[in-house]
Amino acid sequence: MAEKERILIVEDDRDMGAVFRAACAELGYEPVLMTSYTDAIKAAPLSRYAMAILDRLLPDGDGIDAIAELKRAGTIPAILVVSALAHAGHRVDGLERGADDYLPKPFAPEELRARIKALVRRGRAQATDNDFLVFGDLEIRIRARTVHFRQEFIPVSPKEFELLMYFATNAGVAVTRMQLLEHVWNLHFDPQTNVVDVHVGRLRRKLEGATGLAFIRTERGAGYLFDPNGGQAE
Amino acid sequence: MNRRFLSGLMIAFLPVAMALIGAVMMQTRLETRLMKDAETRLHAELDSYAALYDQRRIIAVRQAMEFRATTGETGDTGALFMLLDRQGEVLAGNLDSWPNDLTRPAEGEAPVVMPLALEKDGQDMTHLVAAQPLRGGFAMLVGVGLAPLNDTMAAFRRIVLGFAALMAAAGLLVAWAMSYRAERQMLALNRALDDIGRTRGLEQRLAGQEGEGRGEFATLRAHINAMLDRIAHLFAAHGRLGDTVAHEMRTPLARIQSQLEKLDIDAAARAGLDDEIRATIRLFDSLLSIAAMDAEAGSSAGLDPLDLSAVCEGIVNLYQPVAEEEDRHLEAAILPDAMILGDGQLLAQMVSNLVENGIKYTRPGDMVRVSLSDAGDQVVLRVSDTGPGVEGDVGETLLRPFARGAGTEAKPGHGLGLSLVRAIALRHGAVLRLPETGVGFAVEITFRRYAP
Repeated sequence: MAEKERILIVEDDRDMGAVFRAACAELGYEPVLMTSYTDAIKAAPLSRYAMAILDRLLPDGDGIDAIAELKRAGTIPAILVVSALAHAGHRVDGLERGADDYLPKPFAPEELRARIKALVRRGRAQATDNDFLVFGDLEIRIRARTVHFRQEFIPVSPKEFELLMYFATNAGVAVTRMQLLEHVWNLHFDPQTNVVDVHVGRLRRKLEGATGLAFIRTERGAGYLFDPNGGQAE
Repeated sequence: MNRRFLSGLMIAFLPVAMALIGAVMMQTRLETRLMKDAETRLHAELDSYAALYDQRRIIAVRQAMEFRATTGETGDTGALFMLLDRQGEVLAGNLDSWPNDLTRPAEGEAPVVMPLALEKDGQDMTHLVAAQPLRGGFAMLVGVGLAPLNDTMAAFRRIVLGFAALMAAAGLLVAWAMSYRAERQMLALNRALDDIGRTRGLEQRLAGQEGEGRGEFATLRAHINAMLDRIAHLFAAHGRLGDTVAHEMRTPLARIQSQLEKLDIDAAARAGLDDEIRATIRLFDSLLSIAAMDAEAGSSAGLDPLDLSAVCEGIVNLYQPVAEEEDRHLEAAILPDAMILGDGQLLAQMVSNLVENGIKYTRPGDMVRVSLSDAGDQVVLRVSDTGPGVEGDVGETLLRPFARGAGTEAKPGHGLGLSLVRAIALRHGAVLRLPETGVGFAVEITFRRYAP
């Protein structure tokens, strides 16, 4: 039986630790839980991990200060900071200091799972010179920033192209509205309106209109999922 | 005339004025004393001639005067003397005639003593003279010159005025140097405080000036630094409290949210609970953000040069499809390349809140307009709409947390949107106004342009 990949969890709150462990186990990973900054730095070089989940307010320091040391070990390709320090300034600071993603507490379990999946996928991704992302007959031309279906050009706006690119690079993985806001619009606050839904809805309608297939699906409670095979349009 | 010279003049004026008053008093006393000496000499002359007359009669007085007139022996005081007979003829003396201004006293009258200006040997001279009647109808005039007295007083005045000028110059120089030093220290202090307030933040302290020593400025600096220590301590405590409150409230909510997943409830009910938790967190985030930004209002620490035009365009593009779906016209007239010192996320949140409010509180078909215009060294962001506006004269009370316009209770929200906008504006040192509009509602925020 193949050994499970590990995810390093650094969280001092017992209940939250259990939530992270459960999410990792559910996704098929072996959770390794550390409850302090110092223990996390000691644990980092001892194994290879798919990613790490890092809390900030730890008993012996701010987890964000550990990011550089954890990455220096070379065993953790991606770090998700999950913290109660959650306003835009905290998030931007976390991302600037090396976090690959920043999830504010509290979070929906679906959102946690979506972010873990997206980060593990990103950690595994190899650098590629490919100019195309191809999903069946749907072709995304990265350099030209155009979208085609069976050689037919589908007109999309620059922002819609960025949105589609984010979906495509996370194909098969649910992405949340906050992930889209952060990665496509670089906005780290939660607007009150359904602004993301409107943009996704427009892109979805364009793709469905041109292909007759539903590449983007709504995942209840989580957000959206890009189906690489294109499901049946409603 | 510059301010420093004026303050130097004011500081130097008082001691110089006091010294001058002292000199005038000394001059008066000296003049009185010298005049008394002259009177004493005059009376001595009179007494000696009177004694000669009493002992040896008129002939002896006449011979003595003739002798003095012939030999020119008048002392160094310019003495005057004259003897008249009963008919007023000059019997002896060193004057040609009895002075017109001097009354000749009759026999038995008291001697007349007065200062008298005379021309003698081609020179105008002042004398103190006495006219005394002698028995037998004779009259005698005796005078002493006041030239030595006048010379002494003139020399005294010259010396006093010279010293006064020197004192004034020295006082002015010292006062100017003192005020220059004080002003330089005050300028450095103001610059350093401005720097702390606007740019470098509360971790900075005032450094001592070169040669400042241990004077009042050093004490003032120590007091200000102690106050900054206290403010920084309170500020850090405030930040820690915010972080702790955030942690202590968010972590249990995260546990609740994760437990919700295990409950056997339908998806719609769970989504509703998730939305409630999200709304609670948003409310709580807004309150913490408002408190944090109020504490940092006006400080440029943590702000970077950024293009406000790009922020506005990004938000307008983000909300354009929402406006279209809601049947609102979202228009933009954005001045390009408006650079300010700011925090991109906060500014995006500010413009987003204003545009969202515009869409939320207007009717289908209404217009929401975002404009960024040039105002010299400032840029003005204005978000206005053609909606129903706000009922009643609520003015700036709308900017207070939890304040909502009348008739908007049915709309979702907690009344924190505009107070968050106000806090973000203050954080950037910008001025927010709610201008009068004929139709709808408008918010106007004036930012200082960034000058590298």
